[in-house]
Amino acid sequence: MICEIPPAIFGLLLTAMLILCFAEMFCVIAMVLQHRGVWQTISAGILLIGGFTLFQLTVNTAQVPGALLPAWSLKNKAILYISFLLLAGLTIWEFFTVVQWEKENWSPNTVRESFNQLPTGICFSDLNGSVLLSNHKMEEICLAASGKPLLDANAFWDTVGSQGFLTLGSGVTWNLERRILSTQIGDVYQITAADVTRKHAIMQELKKDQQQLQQIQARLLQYSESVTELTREKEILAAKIRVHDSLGECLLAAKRCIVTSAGGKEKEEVLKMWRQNLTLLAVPPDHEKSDSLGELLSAAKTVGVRVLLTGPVPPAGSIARALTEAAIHTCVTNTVRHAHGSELYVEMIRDGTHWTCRCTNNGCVPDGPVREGGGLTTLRRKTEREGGTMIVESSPRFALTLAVEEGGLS
Amino acid sequence: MKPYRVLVVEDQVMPRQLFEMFIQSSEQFTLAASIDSAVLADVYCAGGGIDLILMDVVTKNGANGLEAAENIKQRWPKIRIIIVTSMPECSYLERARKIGVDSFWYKEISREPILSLMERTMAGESVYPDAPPEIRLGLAMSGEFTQTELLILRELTGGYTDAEIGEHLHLSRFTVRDYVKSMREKTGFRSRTELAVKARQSGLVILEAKQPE
Repeated sequence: MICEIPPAIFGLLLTAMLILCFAEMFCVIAMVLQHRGVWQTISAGILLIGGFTLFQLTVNTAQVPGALLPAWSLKNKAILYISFLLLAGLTIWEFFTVVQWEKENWSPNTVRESFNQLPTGICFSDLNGSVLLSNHKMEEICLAASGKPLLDANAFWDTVGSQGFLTLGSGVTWNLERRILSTQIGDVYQITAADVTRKHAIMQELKKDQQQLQQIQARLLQYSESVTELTREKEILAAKIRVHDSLGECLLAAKRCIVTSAGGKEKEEVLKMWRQNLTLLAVPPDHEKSDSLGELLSAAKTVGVRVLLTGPVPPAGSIARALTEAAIHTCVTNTVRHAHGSELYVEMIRDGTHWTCRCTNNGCVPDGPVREGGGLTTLRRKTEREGGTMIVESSPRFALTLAVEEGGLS
Repeated sequence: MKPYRVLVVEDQVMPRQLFEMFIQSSEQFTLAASIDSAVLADVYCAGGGIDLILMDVVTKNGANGLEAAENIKQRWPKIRIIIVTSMPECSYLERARKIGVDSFWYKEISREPILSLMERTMAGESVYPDAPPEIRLGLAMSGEFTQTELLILRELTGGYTDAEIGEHLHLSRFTVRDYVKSMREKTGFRSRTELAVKARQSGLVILEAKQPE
């Protein structure tokens, strides 16, 4: 039986076949790119050939547009339609598997795409600086920082990367780091750039706060040193107020004495009060810092030890001076306690920047080797801390020798 | 009975003169020497003849009376020592007890006259106030602070950071931060600087210069 195919239907059929062919071609190419299995790719290829063949057969049998196809019987037309539908179905199914596979599997494109989407800049290069792989972000950074595209990673690193932090004109701060990776192709450099704009801003604020804090600390320390003086002044004022009140009492007591014609004992008490207060009023002002060595020698004299000092005296405030005073202090007490002497001989020698202090006394000779007690131990510690040396001799008589280089102010 | 020989160690002229006057007015005591620096106290003790010392804590050139007292007690344990101070620094009482100082007297606050205290001390008594004087620090009284808070407050007056304070006291800096915050809340001070300055001004805590080991 002969059936006519309406021309419109015929035209649509041909168009649909053509579209299917293109779809099949797409599936074949996609499968090759996705590295799908050989048989899958071959089956897609077969479908492509089948589709193309059907298209060709259909086109060749059309004699004139819109004419009947007398060579196609009903059976042939049925075969045509069924083949077309089968082909279309398989093609559509294959198309969806390709698309699905793309969504569910990694491919080199996926890696590339995600690499370029990263907010962090990454660049891999060989040790000579040739760029092997870099993403868009790193290329943008290089262009913004140096005005040149990223061609030589080593030059890029040497110019901007080695600073660690890079702030671009846009205000974004990048933290650049480079490390060496061992890979299958050998050692490669990996340069990363992370956006640390917020962190960097906070760090800058912190640095500023720290500087301010250090200044406050320094002022606090200064204040701490001066407040002792302030407290002393407060105490002096309080004492003066007491004396003032006491004078008031004296006046009242004196008046009462006169008015009541008080007896001898009461008069004596009032006079004693006056004497005490007048003594206080006669107190000289506090002296400025007096010479500590002078006070030490004076103290030694009070306890019956005359200190005979020969040679130059180290300047006040120097380490040599502090150690000399400490040595004299220790030797004075030891002269009194152990040697029972009355004179301490201190010989100072200066040789350029080198100071030597030698102390001996006129007291008893030690029985045996001198055992270093609290005073000598402390003196030795102080001396050695300043880089000096201390020698204690026990025979023929006690002698202490300190040697130190002239240092800064102690 | 021979009068007791007293060494006065006081750097301020007026209080020193007052002590000298009290001693001279007493038949039980006689003035052996009167000096302004604790550094020289042991020299006078070495000479012998010192029975009692009136020792200030903060003396001339920063010499510390408590350190001198410790040194003297180790070498001459029979010498009696009375610490006299106007500083309400909370650690002085405890340190004095630890050293073995015989008595303790607050210049401005103690009701007992110094002569009476000297007599009791020479009689063998150990006279200590119950506690350091209570002083006001902002909205709080000094008694409201814990021992740890006072330790931290002392370091704070030296201008140290939380990390440095933590290192000195073997605490974490977060612990130090919390304590500082607690003290600020107690006192009502706006900043740690204000807290440090007011604490130092009040004399509640006094940071001594650290001596190298």
